[in-house]
Amino acid sequence: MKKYLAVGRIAFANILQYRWEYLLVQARAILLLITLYFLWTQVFKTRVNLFNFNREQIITYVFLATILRQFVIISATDQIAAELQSWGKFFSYLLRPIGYFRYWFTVDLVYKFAGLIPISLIIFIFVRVFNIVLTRPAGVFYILLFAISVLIAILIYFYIGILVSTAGFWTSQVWGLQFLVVLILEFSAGAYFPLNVLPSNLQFFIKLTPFPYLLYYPISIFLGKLSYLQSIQAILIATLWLFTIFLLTKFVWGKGLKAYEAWGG
Amino acid sequence: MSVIYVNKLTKVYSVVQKELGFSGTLKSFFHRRHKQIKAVDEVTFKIDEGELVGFIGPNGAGKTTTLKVLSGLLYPTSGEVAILGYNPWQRKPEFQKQFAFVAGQKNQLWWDLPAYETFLLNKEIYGVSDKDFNKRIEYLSKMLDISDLLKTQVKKLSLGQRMKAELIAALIHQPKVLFLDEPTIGLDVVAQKKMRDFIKNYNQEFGATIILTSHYMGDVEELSKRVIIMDKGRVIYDGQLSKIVSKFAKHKVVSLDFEKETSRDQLEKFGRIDQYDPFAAKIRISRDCITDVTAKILKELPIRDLAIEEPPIEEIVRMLFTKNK
Amino acid sequence: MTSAMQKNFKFHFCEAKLRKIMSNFKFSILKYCKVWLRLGKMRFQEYYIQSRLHSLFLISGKLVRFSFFFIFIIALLTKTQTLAGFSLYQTLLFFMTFNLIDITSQFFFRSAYAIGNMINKGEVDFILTQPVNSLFRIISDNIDLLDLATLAPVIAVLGLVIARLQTPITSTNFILYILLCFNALLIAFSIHVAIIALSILTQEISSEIWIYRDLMTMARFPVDIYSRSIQFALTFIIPIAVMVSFPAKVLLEVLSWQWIILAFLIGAISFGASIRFWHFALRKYSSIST
Repeated sequence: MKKYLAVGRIAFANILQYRWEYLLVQARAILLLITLYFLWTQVFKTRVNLFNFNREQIITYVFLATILRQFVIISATDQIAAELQSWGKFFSYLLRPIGYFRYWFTVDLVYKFAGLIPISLIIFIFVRVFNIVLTRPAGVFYILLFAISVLIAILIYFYIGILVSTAGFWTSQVWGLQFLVVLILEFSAGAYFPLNVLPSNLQFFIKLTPFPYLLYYPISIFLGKLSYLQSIQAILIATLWLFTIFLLTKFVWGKGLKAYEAWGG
Repeated sequence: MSVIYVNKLTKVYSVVQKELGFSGTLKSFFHRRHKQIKAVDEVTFKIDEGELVGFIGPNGAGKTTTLKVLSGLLYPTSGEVAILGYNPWQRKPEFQKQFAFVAGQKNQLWWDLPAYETFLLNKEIYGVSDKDFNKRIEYLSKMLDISDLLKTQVKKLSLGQRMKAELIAALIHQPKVLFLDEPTIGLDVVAQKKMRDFIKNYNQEFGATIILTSHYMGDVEELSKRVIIMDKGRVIYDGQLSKIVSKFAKHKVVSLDFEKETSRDQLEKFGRIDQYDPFAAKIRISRDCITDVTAKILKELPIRDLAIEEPPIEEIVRMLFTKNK
Repeated sequence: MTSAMQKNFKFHFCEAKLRKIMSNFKFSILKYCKVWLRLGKMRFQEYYIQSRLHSLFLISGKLVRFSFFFIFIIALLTKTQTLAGFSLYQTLLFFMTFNLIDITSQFFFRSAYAIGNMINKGEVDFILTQPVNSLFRIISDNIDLLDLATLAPVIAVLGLVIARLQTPITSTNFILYILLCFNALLIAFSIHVAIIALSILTQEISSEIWIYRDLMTMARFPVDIYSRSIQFALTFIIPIAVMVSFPAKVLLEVLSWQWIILAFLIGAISFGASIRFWHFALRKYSSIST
């Protein structure tokens, strides 16, 4: 346990070191939030209900999406690909008595919490200052379900992040792939707008992927858009996806490691 | 009129003093203290057309700063500089087209592409005609023996080959003034020799005025007759390399080969021992009594062979620097 | 010499001088075009050698982003009919103009993202010793010809959207649209130059360029959706609205001539200010003594 605390402490020190870049990431998220907030406010000037959302709900969606995005999708795992480029460094980690995945998960959690606090603060201030009305969650049990779905979402993205990073075993420029994947993922997760907006056939296909379980479903649970049964169903499917992705990642990782070792760096 | 004219060149940097500790940081927030550093102090010299001058000095001597001013990268604090009649820092294209700077550690060649591609880029930038371009590439690559490597990716070339290609890239526009900063750094002995031969050849063939900086005394010894030595921002010597020895070295080094084993104490009375071996040694003998002492050695010791040499220039230069402290 | 002869002489002298300046200018333009093309070709070869797959991913990513927002706007406006008073095709006009300006300015001024690296590697010093305008050389350092691959479909879709607009397009408005787009590029140029100059001044990597990028994305939708204060900021502080919304509005004939004049004024002022700033930064870099 102590070694994880040590890892956590180093990760946090690193964040402090690069705090300016870190704050920049937050600033960018806020700009997106402003755009979406005003967009939906404008849309709901002339109507009460749209895509099964009312004004408060969609605004809450946007705010939650911004917070959760920082929490679920911002991940330390995109650094793995870069670390793989340095053969020596990577192997020095493998030799240490700490699981590689567990190490990165610790770093990931630290990153996420460090990001969560400033963004929540800023949003809290925004909401108070501009008197923005938000939807309350539909009940205590829903909050619990929400928390569970978020936890699973974090894990799902964590393994997806590792999966994408494994490309680093084979090529040196992974960020192009990361760029494409994250973009598809964000849209499919409903980071920019709730999936209800999209035409129904497109919605159908997107809901076949694991991505909506990252943001869309958790937020829907929070807003009470799903019944108890539907929420639990969503969580179960998410868990199934988690296992699938976990196995896939482990498999590809193993393959990559073999290929990597054969190279010798 | 000299090609390179430097008169009382001075460059002063203003460096912010960093205070230590918390109270220091607070203090410096309100009142910044500046320290003036004289990187170059009233440096004066003239270089004529076709000269090949060595520029040496320890790190921090002000060499790089002086060269940067001469290249037009830095503005001087005071003093005059004229290269081919131009003020370098005005960066007039007419001046820049006659000038080139090659740094041994920095490359201008694009890593993933063949050197030839970078040559073409320089051709456009310097406005070299197609005819001149082809002629010069052919000549230079033949002289440097890399004609078949021009279309190979730069990252696949050895260090020596890369340096040669860098040189060609810099010489495409046939500059009249050339600055070479550590051109042989990291090269093996053979490559170093080839580089030196080329530079000497180029200087003679095209009459280019060349300033060469190097940490290898071998470069300086072989290429330049004249040398400018800088230390602590000042020129401490400007003249013939050969004269340094006689001016600054108070001693000569005598190499001895013995016919039979000779002990240290037998040698010690003649002078300071630099190297000792029962059958060979080197000792220092001061200049004024060299003839007497060597005569005595020949008489008293079983000498098979004796040679009188000048001390290595590096040693003299090093001594100059330590003396300057 | 009689006065007539003097006048004649002066005339021929001025004419000859003007001719010389014109030919020098033409010659310079030709030279700079050649250098620009060479740099583009070399970068393209580099990317091609490094990783074609990588470039493919990047282009795909940009097209994915574009398509998703496109679909979103259509889906949204099909239900709501209007956004801030603009119809579907009008809103799409704003969106497409945004993409046009965004992609084009990235194509021309991409090097602002790499300037920190250039300074670290000493490339800036090297560029300063070469007989080519250093700002031009730095700005043209990172030309990605593959950007044109994303630009082509954008222009095609833009054409389609303009064709489907219900408001009649006069040729004056169309010309003004084009001119305001060039004005937008001028402003984009100024912003990138300012970032580059800032990097040279502070000798640090400027991550502020990303803030500019995100501010730019606020113009995906007509700026009328934002509050008055934000619209003000986007017009006068970081003139994103001037860059994207104004050309679109001019085409739709909802921009008064005062605003049009103001737009060009803002363009000219940002250009002048950024060039001034660049010269200042360069002087500081060469540490001019007072």
